[in-house]
Parts: sequence; C-alpha cells; structure tokens
Amino acid sequence: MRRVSTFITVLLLEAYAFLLALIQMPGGVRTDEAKYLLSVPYPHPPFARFFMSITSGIPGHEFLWRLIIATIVVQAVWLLVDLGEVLAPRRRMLLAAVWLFGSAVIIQGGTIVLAVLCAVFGLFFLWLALHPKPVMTPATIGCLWLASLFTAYQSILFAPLVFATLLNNHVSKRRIAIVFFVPVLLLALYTLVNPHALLSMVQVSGQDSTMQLMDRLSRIGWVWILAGSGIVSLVGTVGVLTSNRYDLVAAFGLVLGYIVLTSQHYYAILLTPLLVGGIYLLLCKRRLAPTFFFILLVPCSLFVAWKERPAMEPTLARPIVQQLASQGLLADVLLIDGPFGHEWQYESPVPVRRFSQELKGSVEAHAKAIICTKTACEEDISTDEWERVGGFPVEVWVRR
Amino acid sequence: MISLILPTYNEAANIKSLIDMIDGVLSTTPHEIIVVDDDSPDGTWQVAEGIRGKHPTLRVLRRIGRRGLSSAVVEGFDMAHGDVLAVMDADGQHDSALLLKLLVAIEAGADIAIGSRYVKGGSVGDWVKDRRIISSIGTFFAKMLSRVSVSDPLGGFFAMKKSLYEKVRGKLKPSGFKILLEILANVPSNTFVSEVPLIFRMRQHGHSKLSMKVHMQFLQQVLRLFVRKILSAINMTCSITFVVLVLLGVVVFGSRLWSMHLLYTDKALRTSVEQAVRLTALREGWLLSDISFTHVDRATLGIAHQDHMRGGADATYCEINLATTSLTCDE
Repeated sequence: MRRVSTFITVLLLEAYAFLLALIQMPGGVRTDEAKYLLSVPYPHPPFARFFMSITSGIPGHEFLWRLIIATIVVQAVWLLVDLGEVLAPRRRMLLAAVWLFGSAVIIQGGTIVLAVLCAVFGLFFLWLALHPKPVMTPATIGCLWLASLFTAYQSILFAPLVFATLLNNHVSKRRIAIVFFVPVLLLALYTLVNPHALLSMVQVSGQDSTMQLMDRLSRIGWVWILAGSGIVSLVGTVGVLTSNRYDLVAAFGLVLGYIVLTSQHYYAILLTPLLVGGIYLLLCKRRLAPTFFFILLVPCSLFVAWKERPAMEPTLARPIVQQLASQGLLADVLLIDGPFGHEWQYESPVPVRRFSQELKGSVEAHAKAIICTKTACEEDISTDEWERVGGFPVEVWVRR
Repeated sequence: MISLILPTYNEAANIKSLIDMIDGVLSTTPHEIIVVDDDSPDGTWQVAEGIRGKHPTLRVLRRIGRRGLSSAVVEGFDMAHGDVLAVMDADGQHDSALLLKLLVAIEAGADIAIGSRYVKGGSVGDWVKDRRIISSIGTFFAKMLSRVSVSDPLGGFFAMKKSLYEKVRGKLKPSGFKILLEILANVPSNTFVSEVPLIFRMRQHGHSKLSMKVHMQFLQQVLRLFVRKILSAINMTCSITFVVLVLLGVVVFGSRLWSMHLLYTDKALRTSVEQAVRLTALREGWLLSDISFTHVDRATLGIAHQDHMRGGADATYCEINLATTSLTCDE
C-alpha cells in the first residue's frame, strides 16, 4: 500500500470538506441554520452560536461556516486513525471510511446545524473512552465536556462515555463530581435563566405527539439507516450490543431514545459516532472483512445520500428579499404576516417584524412591503394604504 | 559501561576503520559497540559481522523491513547493556575522540551530553550555504520544542544516562533522522544537559542520506511535537480555565436567576408576564426570540429587545408595566 504523507492527506480531506460545504449552498440558509448563524437564544446554549454570529457581517458568512463545520467533521477522522493504530492498515482505512463516507456525514457534514458539532464531540468522547491509555487530564476533559454541553443540549446523550472515561482514568470521586456533574448543573442553571430554551424543549417534545405509530416507526427506521448508510447501521448496532461496554451501550440507548422521541432526520448524525464505535470493536475482534465491507459501504452510502440529498433550491426568503431590494421596496423594517422561519431574518438586510392587526401604526409606517406567508392576508391588511402586487411567489403587499 | 550505537545504511566502506578508531578511543573504558544496519544493499552488516572476531565488544543488529535512523537508534538503545547510551554517525563526520569528552561530561553529572556544532569551539565545517541556512531554521524551531535549553538540539552525536532514556522511552515516536530532538522534547525540564564542541567533518566514503524526504520527515516531526506542546499547554491551563468558567457561570447565571426568581415561584405573576410579553410583541411586531428578560418584580418586567440580523443590531432596554402592559424604552 502506497504511503501518502500526512500533509497531502490533510489537503485531500480539506478538499472533501470543501465539497461537502459546496453541496449545501444551492439550498441556501434554512431556518435552523439561521438560528445559529444569528445566535438566536434558543433552543441551544450560546457557545458555538456566539462565534457564528460575530462573523455575521462578513461576505460569504454562510459558506465560511459551512466550510468550518465540514472541516471539523472531516478532520475528526484523525481520532479514528489514532484509535485504529492497533488495527492492520486495511481495517484502519475502513474505520476512517465508515466515518468519512457515511451517508450522515455526506448529507449533514456541510450543514450549519449544532447536531453535527454535537456528533463530533460524541466522536471525541468515544475516542477518549476507547483509548487504551489516558490522553487528557480530568480538567481538560471537564473543559471539553463543558464546551460540548454549552454547544448543544444533545451532548448530554454522550454522558456515559465521559463518565466512563473518568472512571477508567482512575479519577477520584470528588474530582468526577466536579468535572462531570458541575457542568451539567451549570447547564441547568443556564436553562433556568433562558425561558426560550425551556419553552422550545416543551414544544419539540410535543410536536410529533399525534403521529401514527407506523409513521413514527418508519421515520425512526429511516433516521437509523441514515446514521450509518444502512450497512454500518446494522453492523455497527451489532458491534455496540455485543461489545460488553456499558458506556457505549448506554450512550447508544440514550441517543436512540432521543431519536425515538423526536424522529427528526437531522439527528441521525448523533448516532453515527456510536455506530462507528461498534464497527471499531468488531474490527478489533477481526469479525469484519474490510474489503468486502467497503465494497458494500460505497453503494449503500450513495443510495441513502441520494434519497436524502440536500435541497437544490433556496427557501423563498432569499429570492423574495432580493427581489424586494431590487425594486426598492425594503424600508426600515420588513413586515411578514403569517408563520415564518428565521431564514427571513438572515436574508433581510432590515429588521423583520411580525404583522398583525394589533401592530402599532408607528411600526407599520416604517415598512414599504408586507409579505404574506399564510393562505390569504386580505382581511388583515388595510387596502387604503396597501395594494397587492404580482410577480412574487407569495402574496406581497406594497404601500400605495 | 558505555553502549555506542552506530546506525548504518550503505556504510560498508567506512565501518571497518570507524570501529577500529572507536575501539582505540574507548580501549580503557568498558564499552560495547552496536551496529544497527537497515539491511544495507552494500552489505554493511556483513562487513561488521566479519570483524566481530577482532572486536569482541561489537554487536550487530540487521533490521529487515525497517528503515529510519531514529528508529534504528531506539532499537539499539533498547538492546544496549550499558548504563550510558551514546550514538554517533557511521560515515566519519563525527570525531570519535569526542566520545571520551561526552563520557566525562556524563560522569561529571550531566544527564545528556551533546556534541554541539553551535557552542564555542564547534562548527559545521565545510557546509554549503544552503545547508547552513536550512540547519539554522531547523535549529530555531527545534529549540522551541526542546524542554531544556540547548544550542544544538538536532545534533546526531550525543550520550545520555540509560535511566533517563528509560523514563522517556514510552513517549518517543522515532521517525526521521532527529532522535535527539524527540528525546529533548520529552525529558523532564530539570534535565541537566552538557554541550561539548563538535567540528562537523565531511564524510569519507559513500553518499549523503540527506534528501527532500528527510526534510519532509523533519517537518512532520516538528509539527507533531508542536501540536503535542500546544495540547500540553492546554492541559495545564484547563484546570484554571475550568474553575474560572464555572465560577463565572455561577455568578452570571445565578444573579440572573435571582433577578427572575419570581417567575418560577409565583404562578399568577408568570401568567401576567406571559400575557404582557405577548401583547407587547404583537403591538411592536417583535419576535419572541428577539426578547430577553433582564429582571422581574411584581410591578414591572424588564426586557431587552435585539433584532437578530446579519451584522448584528443594538439592544433596546425596556420596561413593561404588568398592570397596564404599557411599554417604556430607553432612548
């Protein structure tokens, strides 16, 4: 096997990250992505979204963060390369391939969703838990645990891996209490001072409550397949369940339980590090034929990635705001009547306000256009001051 | 006893005379010489084996399928019996007479003694300008990685106590040519290093192994050690960082929670706050996600409104009268 230098490998990986970021660009910024890019204070804590928002004024902001996140996801493979030092070269390459070319990484690697960063933290905690010797001090683990919790709430699902790492490193009970539990308590304290976060948790937990059982099972199944391209989902799950590692099984159970509750596609990547962990343990026991598995992995990943491919069209926010701007219809504020996502706030160069019949006249006077995102807005809008115009994909009213 | 490692590759023309010279220099000192040969095509290991009869202190290790000076030195050190370990080049560029001076330095208390090109009395000899520049740049970066202050962390002629070697052995990742740098990057910071002037000579026979591949291996080694140094610094600062962040969090969140505690303890107040916020949001057109609470008491609710948009926006601080739901904002 020809040896490729580390430097060239890093460059090739970076080119791959560039591609992952690029394939997300046609779809534009989605509402969840806009939340993080603008540091909207829910549903997640502020650590990662703070850094995203402080660069929001620069051109190319969206692509910059797609590339940064894709880079973090792709270069995280070095953790698996390190873990795979005990494996023969082919098995080691398979381990890396399972992460890099898994459908979840292909589809989500370039998205600006905190679940992706959370998954990288999960991979990091997996590396710590499976590493044969201690690689970090308890304080460093504590800092990373704190950072992960304050990046996304879902990091709590990887708690068993963090806890097991501290136990296996023979950290004293007092130190575990400080390093492990104090960050969790701090997160709880933060949540209490941020009612938006609490409210969004309540909303999310109830949003699929009326879903039929078969629909729910079908969605959960698809998320499980997406997490590991099908083949890694199956084999990785076997690897986890036969591993005799309580930390891995517990984390797997927590993430799966979370997916059962929410069944959202973008949480698939949370399961990926654990499935990769299951694959790693099977490779250590020499229960996988690497070449044969790789041959199966490629078409499975391509198929699943194709089925779940990114949107090729942006949401309506971008073209409509651009059209309004080109026609000089953006004033001090942009009014929107009906439900809308945060991507409108991201795309609009002026503040966005919610239009309603209770809206003060002084606020309405600052707008030149009202966008209607519900079925019809005629009853809400005064035709004395506003007239409806055509040429837009949704109902748009402009000031007479 | 001193164990001298001679890593070799295609040094058949040099090895006999070199071993003769070394045996002469160390004739009054208990010693062993270990030739570690990377299965040289010119049969260096065979030449060395051939003179073992004349040199009973000579041992030969032929490495098949393994290449690299650093790993050869480490394998030699691992099999050595002496309590002082030394290494020198096998191409005649190092003066074997210096071995005694290195040994004297170790016996005087040094943990490591280095034949140094960059102390007074030492020199790089007849190196061409390019090689001097590259060496200077490499030495500059290597000094940053060494845990002890030395003038020549890239030297190939050095001796060290076996007890120190055993301490760092588990941390070494021998690759490329610069094993001394790998050792210096891992020794305790209170390691005593002595440097003895070395005049670098031209090789007598054969060809230099210095190539672009060697330079790239050195670059990789430097990068790897830098990353490890940064991670080590992070480890050390993490204890302080963790405590500071936790204390900061407790103070900031704790004080905010105190200013809002009525929301959690008074259900009626919570209901009126919710109604007041919704009414205000409808009247102003504000999104709820753009509103944060600053304080709550039984009469008023303090809020901050900030539009979330690209480039950011200033926050406006307001108060809502809970009885009348009227809004008053700072200018």
